[in-house]
Amino acid sequence: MGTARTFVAVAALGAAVAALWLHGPALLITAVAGFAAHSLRSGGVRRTLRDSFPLAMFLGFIAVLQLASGSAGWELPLRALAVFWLAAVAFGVLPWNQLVVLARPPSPFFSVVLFLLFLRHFALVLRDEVRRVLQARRLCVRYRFGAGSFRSLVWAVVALFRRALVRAERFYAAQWLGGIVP
Amino acid sequence: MKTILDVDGLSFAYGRKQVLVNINFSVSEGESLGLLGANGAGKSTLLWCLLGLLRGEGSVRVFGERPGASACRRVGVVFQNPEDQLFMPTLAGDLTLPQLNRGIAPEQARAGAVEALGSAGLAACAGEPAMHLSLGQRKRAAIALALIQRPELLILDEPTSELDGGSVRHLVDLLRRLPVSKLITSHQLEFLAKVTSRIVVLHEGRIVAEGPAEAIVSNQELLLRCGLI
Repeated sequence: MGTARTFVAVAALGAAVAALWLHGPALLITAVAGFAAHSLRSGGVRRTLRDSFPLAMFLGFIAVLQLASGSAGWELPLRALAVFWLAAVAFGVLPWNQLVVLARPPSPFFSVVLFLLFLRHFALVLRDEVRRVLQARRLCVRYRFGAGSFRSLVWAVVALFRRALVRAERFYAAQWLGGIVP
Repeated sequence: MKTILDVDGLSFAYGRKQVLVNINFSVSEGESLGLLGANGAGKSTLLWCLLGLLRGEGSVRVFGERPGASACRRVGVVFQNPEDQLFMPTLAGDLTLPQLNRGIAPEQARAGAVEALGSAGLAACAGEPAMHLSLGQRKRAAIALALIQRPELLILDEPTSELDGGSVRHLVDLLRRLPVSKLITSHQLEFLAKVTSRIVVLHEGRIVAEGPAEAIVSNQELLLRCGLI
């Protein structure tokens, strides 16, 4: 079971890294494969779309900036989404407990595993904070679109950055006190 | 009795905002000290200063040393939000990691993790991630995580925040059984009276009272003045 999970995770990670260099139809196929894999793992297309919504919003903002500078393209957003879906699948299926035991400290592999674990944890923290902030906004803004909605969205994003910073600070402090990080 | 934590004239400010003013107290070996204060009194800032995460004016000595990596190895800390401490895919993994980091063999580390979870009443949850547990269970897991590092001083920041009555009772039982020295911050009088022998009261960044737990929690005038009742 552990071997199969590791194989899937390594394949997904490999595809995520490859997506950074792919172009045209190859990138499109990788993205579709990533979307399908994420949907299979998360239990449905709707769940994948919901999970991708904050990233899609951010990518939309980047696309607007690109459009303003006259260099709009479809590959950057698609690449980012492909990497997100494939990395999410890889992080979800990796047998972390076995990896931590296999990678004995203070080996470089242990540091890599720890780095990936911290990354995974922080992605989950960010996901939770995004949900909370969007829920809080939904409760205090009468209309999702229209008057006041853009301003409230901007403040929600600001709040998200502040919360993420505080959580990162506390998390680092906790790991430092536990002797896990230098 | 030997002093393991000594704070002498500690002051701290966030920019121009003075948060702690001339704080003096100490914790002796085997003692359970409560740090009582309303929200915003400076309790968490004081803890961060004690752990060396913030540096103020004055002197802080933990086991005779300035707070830092070396002194903090002998201190176990339970943060207000246990999610900041538990990040592995399973609770057993969370408790195994610090032991592996100290060079303990994997089998021994795993056995230690299961034993620690058992003593916190969480043996059945060893294979679950922290986020699937209730807040009370996560708090107990964070305590087990702190204890697995065999600390000589256990520091708990608001351990009862957001806990229901049953979870608080479990926590009181667990803390009473622990033989280590403890420093516990809280604004819950009843809880502190049950788990500590001496209480220091913090109000607007200053120590306004110090004494036996029963005397402090029965001083209505003091508690009213400090916004605790």
